[in-house]
Amino acid sequence: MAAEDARYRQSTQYKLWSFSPAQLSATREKTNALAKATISERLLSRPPPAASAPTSGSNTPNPSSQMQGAGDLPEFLTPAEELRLLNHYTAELLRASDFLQYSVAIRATSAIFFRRFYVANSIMTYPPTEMLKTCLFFGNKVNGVYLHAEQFAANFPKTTAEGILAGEFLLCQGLRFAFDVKHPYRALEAAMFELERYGDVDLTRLGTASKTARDILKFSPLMTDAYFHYTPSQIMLAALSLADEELYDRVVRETFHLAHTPAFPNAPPQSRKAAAAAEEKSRLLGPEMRDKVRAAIASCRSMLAQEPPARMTGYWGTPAQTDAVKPSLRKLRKCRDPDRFDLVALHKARREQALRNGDADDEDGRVPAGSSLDGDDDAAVFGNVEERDAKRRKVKKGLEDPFGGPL
Amino acid sequence: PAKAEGPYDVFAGGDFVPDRYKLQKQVPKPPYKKDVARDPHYTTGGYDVRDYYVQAMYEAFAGLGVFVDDEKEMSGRL
Repeated sequence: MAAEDARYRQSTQYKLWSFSPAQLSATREKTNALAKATISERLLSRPPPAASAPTSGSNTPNPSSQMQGAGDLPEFLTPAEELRLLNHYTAELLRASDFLQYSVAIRATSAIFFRRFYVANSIMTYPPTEMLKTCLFFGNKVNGVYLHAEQFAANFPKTTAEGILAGEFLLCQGLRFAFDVKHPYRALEAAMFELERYGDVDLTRLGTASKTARDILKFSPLMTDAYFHYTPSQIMLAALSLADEELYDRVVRETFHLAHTPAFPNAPPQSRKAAAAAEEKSRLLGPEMRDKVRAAIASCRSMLAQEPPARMTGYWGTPAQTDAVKPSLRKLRKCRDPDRFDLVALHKARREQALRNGDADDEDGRVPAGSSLDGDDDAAVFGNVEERDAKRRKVKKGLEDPFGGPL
Repeated sequence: PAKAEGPYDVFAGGDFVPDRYKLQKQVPKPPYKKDVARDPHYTTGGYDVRDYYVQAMYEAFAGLGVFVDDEKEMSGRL
C-alpha cells in the first residue's frame, strides 16, 4: 500500500463520508423512509388546525391543504425527488457563494457540507433554504474565515443571524463532526507542476487545460456524488482528462512508469528485503495498478460529464428548471415536518428545555451536558422528560462539588 | 510504529516517504501563475513556496490507489 494512500485512509473523508453507490442510495432511501414515518406519526398525533398552519406561506390557496390533518396524510417526496431538490439547492448555494465572491475552498466546502447533511437527514425534515445559508456560514468558519453573523445575514433577504445560527449545531451533528473536506484544487496545480517538469509540454496548452479543468472542478464534482465515491486525486485527474485527454495520459504514464518485471534475471542476488521492496514498488507503479486507476478515473469522468460547467446557468431561474422542481416544491410544502421545519422555533424549544432542566436544581442555570443534545432527543424537546429528569436529579444528589463546599 | 530493534529512528517510524511521486529540488514554476517564490512581498514575510509544493504534490497523489467502491463494499459497513 502506498504511503500516501494509507494516509488518505486515515482521513474523516474516507472513514465517514465515502460510500459505494449502492450504499449511498440505500442510505438515502432509508433516510427518506424514516422521515416519512416520523412525519406521518407527528401529523396524525397533532390536532388538525395546527397542522395546516404552515401551508399559509404559499400564495396559492390550496383547497386540499384544508382537508389535511383529519387522518389523511400528504403525499411525501420520493428519494428521486429529494435528490433533484438537493441538486437544485446545491446550485443555489453555489450561486450565492459566487455572488458573495467566496474562495473556491469555501465554496466547495459549503456545498459538500450541504450534500453530506442531506445524506442522513431528509429535505422534508429540515428546510434546505435555511441550511444552505448555514452551510455557507459554517464553510467560512471551517476555512478560517470568521464572519460576523449579522453582517452575513444582511447579504440575504428575509434572513436574520438567529436563523443562521439556529441550524449551526444541527449541521455539525449532521456532518458527524467531520469538518476537514479534501478538495482537488491544489492537486490540480501539482499536476501542472508535474507536467511542467517533464519539460516538453507546450505551456500555453498547459494553461488552457488547467483553466478548463479548474472550471470543471468548480462545478461538476459538487453537483454530483463524486466526493462520496472517489478520492480528490481521482477527481482531479478525471477533470484533467475531460479538459485535455493527452495531458492526462501523460501524467498517468509518467506516474506508473515501472514495467511489471519483478527482478532482472541476471542481476546479482539481492537481499530478501530489497527484493520484497522492489516487488512492492513494481506492484504500486506497474501496469496492473495503472489499469485499475484508469478504470476508476474513467467512471469518475463519466459522472462528472453528466454535469458539465456549461449547465451551471441552466440551474438558475430558467423556465425549464423551474418547471422541473416546481411540483416537488409544492409537494414539499405540504409534507414537511411540522415541528422541525422551523429551525428558529426548534432551537428555542431545545434551549428552553435545557434551561428548564437546569433551573430545577441548578443555581447557575448552566445547561447540563448532553441534556437535549443526545441523538434520540425528540422526547426532550417535545415533552415527556419527567423520567429522565428524575433520574438526573437522583444522580446529581450523589455528586459533591469538585472544589469543595462554600467557605 | 517504532521498531524494538535496529538503528535509532529520528521520526520514530512516522516519517512520510511518498511512493508514487518524487519531490524536485527546485519547485517547478507553473506557467500561468505569478512567481511568488521571488516576490519580496511573500519572501520577506517568510512564505516558502516549497511548503505549498509539498502539500500540493501530496494531495495530487494521495488516494490515487484507493478504490472507494470496492473497499467500502468489502468492509460492508457505512
